[in-house]
Amino acid sequence: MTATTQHNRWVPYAFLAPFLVILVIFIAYPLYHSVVLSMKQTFGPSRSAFVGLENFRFLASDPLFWKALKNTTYFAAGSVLIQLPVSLGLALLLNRPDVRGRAVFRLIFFSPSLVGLVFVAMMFSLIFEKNTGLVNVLLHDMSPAFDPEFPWLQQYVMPTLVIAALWIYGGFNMIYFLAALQNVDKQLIEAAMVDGANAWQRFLHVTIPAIRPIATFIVLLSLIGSFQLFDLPYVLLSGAGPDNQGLTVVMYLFQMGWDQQDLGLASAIGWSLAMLLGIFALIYRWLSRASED
Amino acid sequence: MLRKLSIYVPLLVLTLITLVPFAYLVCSAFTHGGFLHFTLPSRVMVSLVWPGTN
Repeated sequence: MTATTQHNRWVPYAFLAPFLVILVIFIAYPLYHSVVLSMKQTFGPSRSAFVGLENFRFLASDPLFWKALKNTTYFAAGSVLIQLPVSLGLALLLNRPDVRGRAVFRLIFFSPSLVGLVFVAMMFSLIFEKNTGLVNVLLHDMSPAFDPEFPWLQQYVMPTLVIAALWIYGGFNMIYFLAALQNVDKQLIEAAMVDGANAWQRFLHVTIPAIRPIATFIVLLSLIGSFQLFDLPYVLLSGAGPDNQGLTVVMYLFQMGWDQQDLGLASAIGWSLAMLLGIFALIYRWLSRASED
Repeated sequence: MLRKLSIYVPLLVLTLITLVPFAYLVCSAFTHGGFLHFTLPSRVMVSLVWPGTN
């Protein structure tokens, strides 16, 4: 083997080295460390004791963790079952070539995504305020029987969060659906029209199968985003809200890691959430393959 | 006509729902205790107080 050939053998590794170094330092090692940490009970970063799977066992019997998971699942279900159909409906309306001012409407519906979540949370805390909040004032004006002291942020925390998220992400998801709808083969729709299919039949048998891959991807993204919910309720409710009604899994992780200083339990919560999201990703993969077949 | 209404009425209602929170925020900025009350100098706030509010 000549010196030049030997030299060339190391060139690809030299090019890969910066990426590998960054991968190991910033991704692989922190992941490994968090797995180890999830098997320790800690008090701050310096004091810890190995406890095996005790943190996971504790979580399985912890009512607060289950409450957080229930709240987060409620929010995720609201996101998928309300937000995505609204986004699809908007996209269908704005995909029609005969609608005037389509670009303006698209901009208007997308505009909430340009505002930061913290800002939106503060805005909605004003809007859902008792007595003086816009929602209660409007509903009371429209129907005097409606109680202006309706406690949105005290007793109906999760529906309020779903409404706020609908306002923020409805237009954002609409853009994905719009992109999917613009790729639907027009010849297929025309062929269905020639065959006598009405609008609903065309939507069900042509549009839906055509947009299914992107739609399942949007569902997955929406689920992952919903299960990582933190800043919206944290600012809107100044914490977990009354009786932990707005407690989410990531907020519980934050409370355990930073307020209780138990980084081990926080890591265990993080890994539990990662495993749950991993299951969703596997289901998505299975659905994608099934639709390809 | 009915077809046009079925397109534009939902669009306009949703436009209103999207824009009202922004408008509410802007209005509340010009009232005492409003959102931007603490970030604007008080002299500016006094001159910008929304009519009919204290």
